[in-house]
Amino acid sequence: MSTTAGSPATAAAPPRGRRLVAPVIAVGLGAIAIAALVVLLQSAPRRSGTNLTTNTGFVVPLGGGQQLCEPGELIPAGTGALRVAAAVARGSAPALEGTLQNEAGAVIAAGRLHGRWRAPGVIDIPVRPATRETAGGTVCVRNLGAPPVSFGGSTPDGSFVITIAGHPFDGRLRIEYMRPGSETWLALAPTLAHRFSLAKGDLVRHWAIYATLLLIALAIALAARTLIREERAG
Amino acid sequence: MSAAAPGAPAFGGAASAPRRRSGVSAALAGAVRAVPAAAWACAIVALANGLAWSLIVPPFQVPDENAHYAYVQQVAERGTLPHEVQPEGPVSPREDAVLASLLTFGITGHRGNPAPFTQLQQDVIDAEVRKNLSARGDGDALTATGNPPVYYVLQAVPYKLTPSGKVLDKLAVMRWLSALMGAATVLLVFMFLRELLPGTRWAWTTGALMVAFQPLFGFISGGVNNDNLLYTMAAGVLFGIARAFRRGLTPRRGLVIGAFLGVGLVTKLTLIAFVPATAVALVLLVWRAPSRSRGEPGSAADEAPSPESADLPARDVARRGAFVAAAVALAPVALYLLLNHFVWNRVAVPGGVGGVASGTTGHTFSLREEISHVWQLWLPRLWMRPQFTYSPLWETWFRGFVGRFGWLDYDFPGWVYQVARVITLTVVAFAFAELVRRRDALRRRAGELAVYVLAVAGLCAEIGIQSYRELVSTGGVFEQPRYVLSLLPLYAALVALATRVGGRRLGPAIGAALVVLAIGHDLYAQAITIARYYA
Repeated sequence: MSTTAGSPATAAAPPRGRRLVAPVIAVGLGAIAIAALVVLLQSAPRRSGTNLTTNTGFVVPLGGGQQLCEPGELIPAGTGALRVAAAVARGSAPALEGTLQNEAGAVIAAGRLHGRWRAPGVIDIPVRPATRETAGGTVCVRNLGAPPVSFGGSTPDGSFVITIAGHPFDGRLRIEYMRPGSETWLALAPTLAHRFSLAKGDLVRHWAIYATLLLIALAIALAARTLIREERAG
Repeated sequence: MSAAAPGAPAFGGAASAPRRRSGVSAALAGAVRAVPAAAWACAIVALANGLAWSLIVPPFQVPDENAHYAYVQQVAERGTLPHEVQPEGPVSPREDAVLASLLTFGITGHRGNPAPFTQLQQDVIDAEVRKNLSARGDGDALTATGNPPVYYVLQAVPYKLTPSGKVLDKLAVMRWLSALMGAATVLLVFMFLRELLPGTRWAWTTGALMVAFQPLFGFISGGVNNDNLLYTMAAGVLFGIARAFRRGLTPRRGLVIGAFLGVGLVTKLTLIAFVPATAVALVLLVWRAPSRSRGEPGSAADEAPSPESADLPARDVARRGAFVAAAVALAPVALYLLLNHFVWNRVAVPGGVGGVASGTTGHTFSLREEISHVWQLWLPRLWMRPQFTYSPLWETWFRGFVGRFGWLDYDFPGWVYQVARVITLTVVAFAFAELVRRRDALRRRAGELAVYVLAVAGLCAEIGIQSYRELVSTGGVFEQPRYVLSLLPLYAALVALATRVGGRRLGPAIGAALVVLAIGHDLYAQAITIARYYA
């Protein structure tokens, strides 16, 4: 460790032609930008919400021909599928039917997943049409085949009670509500920006997304500038 | 701002400003002027990054933020400190209602559960806020209850100044103060490096920016948590020590060391880990001070002598400095202990000191096991009885430092940690090579190096002891990766040393490459945070 301030070895700035910091920063930030773009263009199914239930295992059973109904669900807007974890003890995976009802019991969306899905696994039961936001909704899943299916969820789960084949069951199915089809992160950006504005203080929430982007840009620009200046200063 | 040349004094040194201008404000103004422009720039980078984090992370998703908010609320609303209430329960109707409407405890610890992002959920939150419930609780601040008060007293200022009575608005503004503390930490890290490696200007910026973009640090800087002030004070202690080693110990430099240590101790008792290192530093500084008068070559000549010490031998000046450091460090601690006992009716050290009663956990306290536990928390197990079913060095400390966020409920994909391991090993190898290359200088500064090693050892021991006692009393896991962030100045020093391997031409480029990596690392952390809570 040197203890000499401003020693001859360190006092003079390097010749202009030898400065490497700016090119290194340019290449590095360029690589980050390219990586970010690649990620932003990746397409996959995206969530519209969840019911916050923990998946502790395949603890919610549904026999052949039976239907389970889970009330008290907040069904997010733009839901096009129900994502659940499911397992089949024996036989091939049966077809499943999903139904979404509003608080009054009217069906607002429904759909079917064909059988022979890969079990155990995470499955998407498509429903149509895409929903509007619905509080106090009920989600029903019917087993259209003979083999019993077990779904991921919690049992018991607080005071939640669902019905299976008309009988009460202490527990809850974990449901992830999915938007229709696949989307890139870039396509989802406006939705993310809206979500970013929720559940924060009124003081910040309406401009938080813009401020965040600005602050990040400021931090990077200032860091780059400082590194370049310090190299010149020696 | 001024771009002071290397070696120019700061924080109590011989600034170019007229030194005899009386008053603390003049001294402070001089100190501020002596801070290089690059240090301010690094601090602003940290502030911007911390503020960005404060907006990205949903309310109460920084560890124990609900408890820290409750503490501030108690200070601001009642003017008293929290006290234990059994059974531990609600904090205040207003905070509890907001926590419930945010579905906080359905989200924390469950990486698959996002923050509320439907308009109906926002309507529920708005409805709770409109109820304008009482902000006064029963006096308990959950896990924060036993903490000393300094951070919370400071946070009571933005709490009070926030015009609305809304919990989420107050929390947002309180987070800004935390980000400001993060900026102060980075500034002190810069100043520490400036004292430690005075001949390598680019390395100060590199090290400070590496801290500014460290994702775990940014994440904590964006939240309400007393660790933020702890990191500032820890960086201040190390800066003060480095400065005294470079320029000699004087009463004013002793004041800086003591003030950072004392305020740090009444911020979070964790800083007790730095007490042995500070004590050894003071002893060494007195011991090595020449027994000749000030003004002679080799004495602490860059600080103008005060009238009362002008003619004293340097060793006497150093003794005075050590005394001032000890007195200033002890004063707030003594005051805190007295107030706890006579005014607040609180225990100063939660759980007390000494042995710990075993609970219903099946663990019995044993000093031998405690030593073994501390060892295994940081180092590979040797012949000892296993204390962990995993490797804390890798799982808790390395992976945690690289990035584990929220209430420790989400992290990077596995490959990131493998890449980080390769980069870290390379940086450590470069730093080691530099130390070997400069072994003569290192030998001359062995005492100072020993102090830093002792600071690391002290923190490791302190965390390890708390970890073992938590295990015995509750069966729980105490340690969290953020606890090592008090050592950020030494992390920055490691990086700064590594960049020096490249010499004058390649060194700055190596530093820039590392900072760009840190930027990418931080952006990635922010991206997974957005995905965790909003997607």
